Amino acid sequence: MDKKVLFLIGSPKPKAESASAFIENRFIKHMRNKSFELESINLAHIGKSDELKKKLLESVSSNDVLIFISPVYLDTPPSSVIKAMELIAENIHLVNGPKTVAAVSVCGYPEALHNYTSLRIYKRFADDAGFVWSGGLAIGEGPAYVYAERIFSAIGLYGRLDKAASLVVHAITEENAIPKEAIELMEVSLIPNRLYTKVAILSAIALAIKDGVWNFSDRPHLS
Amino acid sequence: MKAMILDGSGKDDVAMSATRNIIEDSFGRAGHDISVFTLRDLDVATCCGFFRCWLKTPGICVINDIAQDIVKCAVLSDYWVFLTAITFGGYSAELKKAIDRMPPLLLPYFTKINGEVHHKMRYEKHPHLLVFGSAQSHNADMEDIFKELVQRNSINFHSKSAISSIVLSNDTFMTVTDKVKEALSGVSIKA
Repeated sequence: MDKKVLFLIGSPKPKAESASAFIENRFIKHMRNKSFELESINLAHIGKSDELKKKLLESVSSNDVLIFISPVYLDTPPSSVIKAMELIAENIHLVNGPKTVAAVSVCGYPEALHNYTSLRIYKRFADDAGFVWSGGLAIGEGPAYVYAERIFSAIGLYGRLDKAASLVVHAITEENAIPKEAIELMEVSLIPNRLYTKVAILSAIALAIKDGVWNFSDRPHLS
Repeated sequence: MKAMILDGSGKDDVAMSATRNIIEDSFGRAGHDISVFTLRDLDVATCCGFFRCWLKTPGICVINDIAQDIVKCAVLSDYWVFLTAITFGGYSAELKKAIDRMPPLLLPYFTKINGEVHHKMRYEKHPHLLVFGSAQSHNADMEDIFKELVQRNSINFHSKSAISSIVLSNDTFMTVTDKVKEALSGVSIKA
């Protein structure tokens, strides 16, 4: 029987600008043509309507595997992702059957370690809800996956993500925990930290200038 | 001096309500100005994640709602007090919604702290961070995540100090008082 997988996406950005969406696509690539039924929900507006909340609970109920893919905002998942987890846990009596939970946490810092607290929160959610925790990937340099896609693809830097995604998909198929190899693959930076921060700042300056902003160190609340 | 309280607790959270009363009373007696934001009564929009508060309108969120007042208050406050139900070891969605709107306090520029890359602060402010969480019962993992989170937040906010305290729903008023007293003593405030 096909395994039903629900992607729960935490980024409020449109797909073209979202590292979460980029990573989700990489996972989907490895799941297509295999025994999976796939569904995806963006959690960004989950707190806003009862209809969305109902849809979330129905989808959680009808799928076997939940995969959170989300950015980290100040050390934890965004509020909308926490809201979704709160809703699921509060309405656990409406959720049918066992579930497996995995998470991919993405941060804008070069080091993957900034995701560790978030991953512990996802695991705690799984434990509290009585679900099976499969494990999580911590990924740094989030914006690099979106804004430097062509360059990084051309020089093969995404091979690591594809390998990790393939290992995760295999683990889900076999109902195993995410292997250490996949976790370790994603912990390594794509590019040296110093280069990453320099490129990030230069890109930010270029974007700001485009909007006519020349000094983004303003302190408006002191004036 | 000034203290900002972000109350992200639920309206039926008796332990957290007692905690808030003791904190308000203690800061008031110490002669500090207090600004309280009861988040469940406020309509705080979720962060849209575009960092326009860095690149388009530096220091100001492009969403015009109460979170702008929270950021302004944070800039002027020496003590940041967060109140929350502990949710999977972290903060409630209610509190997190307000915290997610705080990037205007940071700059896109980077700095290294303890060997890790973090953002620089926009303002030369190093507030004391005090976070009080409520839980139904003890759970070592949940408590450890909570402490770790407060510690990690204090690095990202360049806080002068970071204190976390957990009250339980079945704590007596005396126990809550003792816990709050102990936490506040860490920033030399008498409860």
